[in-house]
Amino acid sequence: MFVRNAWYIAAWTKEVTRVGAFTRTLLGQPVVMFRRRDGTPVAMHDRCPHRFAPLSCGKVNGDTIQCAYHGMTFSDTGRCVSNPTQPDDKIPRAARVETYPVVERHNMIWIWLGDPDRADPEDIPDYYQYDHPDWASDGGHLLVNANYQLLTDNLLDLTHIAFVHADILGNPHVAKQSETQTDVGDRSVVERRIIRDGPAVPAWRLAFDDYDGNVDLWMDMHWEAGANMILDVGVTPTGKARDDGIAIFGLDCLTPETATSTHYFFGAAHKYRSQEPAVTSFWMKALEYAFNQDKAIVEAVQSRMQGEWDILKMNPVVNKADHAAIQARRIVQRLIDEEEQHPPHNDCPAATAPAIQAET
Amino acid sequence: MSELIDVVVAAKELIADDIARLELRRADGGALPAFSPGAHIDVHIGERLIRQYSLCNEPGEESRYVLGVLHEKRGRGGSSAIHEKVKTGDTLKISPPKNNFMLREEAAHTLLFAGGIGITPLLCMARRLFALGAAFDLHYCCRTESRAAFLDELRSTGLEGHSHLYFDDAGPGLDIAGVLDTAPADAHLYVCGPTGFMQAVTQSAAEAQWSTDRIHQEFFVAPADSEAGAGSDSSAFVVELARSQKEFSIPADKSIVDVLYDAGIEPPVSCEQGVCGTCVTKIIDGTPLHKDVYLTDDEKSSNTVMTICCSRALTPRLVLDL
Repeated sequence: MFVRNAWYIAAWTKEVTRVGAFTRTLLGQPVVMFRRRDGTPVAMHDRCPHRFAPLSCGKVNGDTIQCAYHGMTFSDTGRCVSNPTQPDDKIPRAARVETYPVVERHNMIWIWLGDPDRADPEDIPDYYQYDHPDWASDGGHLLVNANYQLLTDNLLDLTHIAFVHADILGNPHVAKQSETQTDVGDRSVVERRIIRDGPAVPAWRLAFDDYDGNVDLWMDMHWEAGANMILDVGVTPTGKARDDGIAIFGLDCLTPETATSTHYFFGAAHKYRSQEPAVTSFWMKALEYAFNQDKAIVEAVQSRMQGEWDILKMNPVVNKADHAAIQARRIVQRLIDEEEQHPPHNDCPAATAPAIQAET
Repeated sequence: MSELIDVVVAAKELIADDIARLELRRADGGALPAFSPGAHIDVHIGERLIRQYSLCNEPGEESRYVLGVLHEKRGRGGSSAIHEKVKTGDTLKISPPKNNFMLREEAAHTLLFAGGIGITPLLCMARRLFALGAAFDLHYCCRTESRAAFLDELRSTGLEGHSHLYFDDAGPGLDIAGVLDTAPADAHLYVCGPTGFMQAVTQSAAEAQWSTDRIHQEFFVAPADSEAGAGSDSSAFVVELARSQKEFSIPADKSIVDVLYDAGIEPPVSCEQGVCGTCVTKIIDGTPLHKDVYLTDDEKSSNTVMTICCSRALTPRLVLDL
């Protein structure tokens, strides 16, 4: 269902503060995050191994977190360091919590929920625009009650903008004309779309306020497995170079919460007028508005799947514009199959299988 | 399918040995759809005779499309018809422009490699890059100077500062590895021409560790073999279904799936254009002509599976596991 050996966004930097713990369910796993005294983030299973109380209900003390139920305290490596209700502070060997590799980069906290031996920070997508002196940026979060691949499909087939976003990102010209090119890599898909020589769609008309002639609108969506995307999107006067126009790098990173719910991390980064916070907030408002339109239609789609999470099992009709999305799904399926063939050997007691297993 | 456009042949001239330049204008005098560098159109030359040609004029021109057409004497008749029958003042039907060979205008540096008639889409790209003031080099290889098209444009109009011409019968040839070696690390390359030429360029690039997303090639203009014999869109072939022991002939204008459905055999299909993979079928014997975008390159070259909604045959007979 999920590619586990991949980096996903767990939170925006600003969401995990130095005060208390932050919890979020990621790839079906409840995860608690907090910051050490030096400010670096820690992520661990949000469940005390004793009575399964969420550790996020407890207290962060320095580099440790204390369970709210019986006071067991765990270090940032997941080891129990205090068991205050027990004689002699006895610490059972199995009192450990699984921790996950996390890296803070580009104002995002990235998490690896797969085989920890394979976690390489080099593989984190390069979204430098979100942490660069020449760029201004901001990020937001939406919870969408739908399978994450429905959202991937939506983002890799932008023909929907003329319909779903007709009032903000669409116009009749956009509905009629576009050229696309799809490049499929080993773990990536790039879907490029250009709509030439038409009036700017409402959001871009507002943004490009010193120009009201026809424009070329480009939308280059870069997808990387599991489900991280960034959209290079902009407008330029018809026939002119991209540098003569204005552009944003829109973040669309999806982290599955469960099979049928998804954390949608979205953002806007812009180099033009980067000293003007009003430009950033304009785009954040426009994107939040548009992505709530996506949320509404994709959640409605999920409801029509009546409990199934994989739309391909339900024989949907496929259009040519679904090409990029189909190729992304092929890559995801290949990676999941590879992970099932080579499961990680996990020596963390908290994650080992229960001692008693049903006979098969 | 997009609506066809009626056009008039406004001019036709021979601009090099066996190469005609055609200028098409809309029959009703109106504007043609905008196109981008790398775009091509389908030209309906006659009943069931449809050929693809790249547009090579200035992108953004709405009054005309300019084509360069090589006369392939061993071909199946498309280019012969254009060279021998089509004349100024004739009307033709064309499709709106399509583009499978899009130019990354934002690249820091661009290398264009043209072999023979493969110059047509690359000339259009060169014009665009020149208009943008972008950094680029065009390397154009021909057998002889008399067979090289568009030399006037390449030797003037500002393109001369970017053009490098190579003729097999005179002067030094193109050192592909050397050119690739001196290119900036983030350059993109585009190649169009005969199959052997395209392979030489893409193989050199692979050996020089160019990532695949920086290598772009246009497949349909492959003058050496594109119009020769079987294995093209408009060839008929025979399909044998191994499990049901039936045999069907697939005419040029129908897909395998069309013929099977007509006969009441209904394998699962969805998109019917090679996108979804629903109809992927095992091949027991014969070689397919893959026309889908679903299968990976490895799957395609294995020739063990095919999409029967749109792919065809390179051999006269295909045996399928159906």
